[in-house]
Amino acid sequence: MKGMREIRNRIKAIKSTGQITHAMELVASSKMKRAQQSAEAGHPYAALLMDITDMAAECVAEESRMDTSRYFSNPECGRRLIIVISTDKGLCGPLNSNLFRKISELGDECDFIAVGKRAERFLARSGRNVVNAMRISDKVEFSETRRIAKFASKLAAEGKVGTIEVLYSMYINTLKQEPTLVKLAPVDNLDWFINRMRKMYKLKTEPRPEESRRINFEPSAAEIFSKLPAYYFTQALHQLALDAKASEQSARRVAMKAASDNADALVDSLTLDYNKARQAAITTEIQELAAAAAVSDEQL
Amino acid sequence: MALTVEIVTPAGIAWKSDKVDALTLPAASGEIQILPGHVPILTILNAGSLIAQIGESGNSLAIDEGYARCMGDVVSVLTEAAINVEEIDEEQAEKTRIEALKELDKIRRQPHVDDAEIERLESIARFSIAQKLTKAKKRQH
Repeated sequence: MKGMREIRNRIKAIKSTGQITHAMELVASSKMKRAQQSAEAGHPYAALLMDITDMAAECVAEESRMDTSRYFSNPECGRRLIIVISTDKGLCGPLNSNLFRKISELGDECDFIAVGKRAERFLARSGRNVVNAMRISDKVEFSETRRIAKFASKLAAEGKVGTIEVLYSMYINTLKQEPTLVKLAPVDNLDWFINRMRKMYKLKTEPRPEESRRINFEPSAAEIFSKLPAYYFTQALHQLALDAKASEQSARRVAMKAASDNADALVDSLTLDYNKARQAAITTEIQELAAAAAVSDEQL
Repeated sequence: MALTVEIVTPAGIAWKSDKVDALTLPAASGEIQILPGHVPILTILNAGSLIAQIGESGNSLAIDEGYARCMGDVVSVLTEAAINVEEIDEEQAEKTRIEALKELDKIRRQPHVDDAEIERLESIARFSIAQKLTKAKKRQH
């Protein structure tokens, strides 16, 4: 009888765990939707930013365009700044460990900004040089990614780092996320940013408001152009953060789905065991009764 | 004829109206006012207050650095952050500022981290803008 009670307790425990993982699965999918909405909200901004770039670019010579896009670089400095975007919580499958494997492949000349508790913990444990630890909430507010961007570009402007790179889990599809290292600065020109934005928002060249007169630039087209890379940089980092969040939520969804399925399967097999044990107990009882009856018959 | 004004931030369109009579912008070269029929212009904006005049009432927003494009009576303002004056909570702003100062004090002991410095500057800037705007509003009434 003891075996039966044990099995019953286990079934109960597994069922309640299954309920929790199922709830987490649902939460992850709704959070993923929120991240997608946040990404879509950036559409008009991306379109306007590109339009302003086009307008300014028409009036700026090719060579000076190249110069201004290089504004982050500091070729003498060999140090790389890596922004690692991880998750705050676990239970998302091998997402973080894949990311951290990539960190181990990087050389010693790297400084890190840890985004998310997991990265912070890993980098501290592996004795890497962490310059700052930051957080991004599930909503991925622009103000949050902007703080990271400001901090990173400040380091670059002071000449403390030569490049700014982002290590994050790229969202490929629900089942596949890949750790990816992306270089945000320095870049040769803005094309990379523009193409990325085009792809993400499927932007078409939108018709500008009708205007036949010549456009005035204030203070000058070159100056307007020189300030643009900073906007692209922040925008790109925000997109990457959104992408990382989408990866996290879909990885968690898949992991939790697998856990719920496992729980169901386990409950099924345990129920079978339980029934077998119950049947065995009944059989033993009958046998004992029968034997006892036979013995008492003999005695009479 | 009225101006169509939209203030675009990465978090979406912060404010939009197609009935604006006059728009005052904190341009890099000084404050400018745009009326319908203004020459097409693309300008850099400083952080400051933007005032959209609709009839008798003025609607003001605190905006961060950005760009403004005026073409054919459509003014598009691109900025990374915009806050409507009504939404500015001065108490909150003051609280943030004090918090930032406290944080800064703590961080001073670890000279390599200066993220709080940025935050402090930002919140002070935001606060001063809020103050300026509310003062300006009070004067109007």
